[in-house]
Amino acid sequence: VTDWHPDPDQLVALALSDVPPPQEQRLVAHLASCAACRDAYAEISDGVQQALAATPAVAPPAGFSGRVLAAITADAPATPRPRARTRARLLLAAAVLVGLLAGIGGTLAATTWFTRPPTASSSAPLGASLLTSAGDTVGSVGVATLSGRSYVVLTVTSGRPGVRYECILVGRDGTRTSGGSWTLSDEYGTGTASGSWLVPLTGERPARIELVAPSGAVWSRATF
Amino acid sequence: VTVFSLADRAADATLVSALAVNDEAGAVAFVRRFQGPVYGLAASITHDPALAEDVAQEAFLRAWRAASSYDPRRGSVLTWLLTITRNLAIDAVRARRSAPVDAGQLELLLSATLAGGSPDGTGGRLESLAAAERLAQLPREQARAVVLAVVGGRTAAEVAEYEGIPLGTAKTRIRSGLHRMRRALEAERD
Repeated sequence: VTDWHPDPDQLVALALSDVPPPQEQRLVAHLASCAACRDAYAEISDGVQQALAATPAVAPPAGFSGRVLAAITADAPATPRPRARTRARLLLAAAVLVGLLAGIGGTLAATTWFTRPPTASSSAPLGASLLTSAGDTVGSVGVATLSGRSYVVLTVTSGRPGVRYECILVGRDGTRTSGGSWTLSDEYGTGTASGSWLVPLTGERPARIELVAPSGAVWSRATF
Repeated sequence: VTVFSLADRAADATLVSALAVNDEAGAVAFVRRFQGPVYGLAASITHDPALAEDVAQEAFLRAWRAASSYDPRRGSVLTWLLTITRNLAIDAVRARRSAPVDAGQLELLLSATLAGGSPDGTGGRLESLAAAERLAQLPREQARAVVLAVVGGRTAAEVAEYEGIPLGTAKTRIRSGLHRMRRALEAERD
């Protein structure tokens, strides 16, 4: 362990892959031996992960999932030699792990890096079952608050793939508001589909949520 | 009335397990569930549809190879996958030395990221929306710097040039923004 420690901006640059390889290796080597800097790095890396989660989704070109599956199937056991940058990253992961195993300064790293509770919700939202007219449970509906704003959270566990459903929010006075519509895709090839959506909530919590098929028939509903 | 938690991380982790044991249906479900954010990140860094598809495909391939080592305690499946994607996209862009990205594209990325949700306005993944909310609550200049650096894959020097600010200021905005993101998450847990 030397007297030198990287400044916070250097750790940020490392977490963002914004340092040239020779400097990257020096930083990684330092983190391997310095618990305090490792903890600081883990916190920065946590912030980067939080920001990454906000990446806007973009639909890939048609046939993408099929091509990925073909590539996975064709993937031979022989993998290319890792380059210097990849090796440095592996070393970094190992350094964090070593800190944990040795228990030297690893406790803080463990709380900030390894034991994150689910990030999905700010409060533990409770909800109601989504039921078809036949009484089958096909999902759930709840209200969650994120950063002070309310959302209806819809989770469909066994929907019909390819059918476009509209989400209708029914108020206590019977007013009906559309919360948007979407189509579920067949995920497992089992003929059922699942998915989760958020609908921003303006005003008070609705009394009932209905998922309406294109024919106008109510496929399922949840009552709070 | 059935009472339950709405967290869907367990379902994501189950899909990774399916990937690890070469379950083909599970692999398809995994790709379909995450292809939007993965391709979105690859596209926002490379600004090249063909290269973005190569990067996104490679990211899924790497995830498939590393599935057995995924540890849910280290972070969500989404951020694990996006971290892999980001590294690949940045390596691809730097190897190619692409031309600078035009301002219109970066502004589009900034507004799309800070608005949150999916493009059709019907909402998106809870985790993504929560992250976008936290980003949107940062001071505007910090949010811009963080999005450009993390989601746009721009270097601090490029952020400085794009925003017309000194390099030191760009670094401070990125660092302060990341720090606030983490603090906001901690505050929500308390």
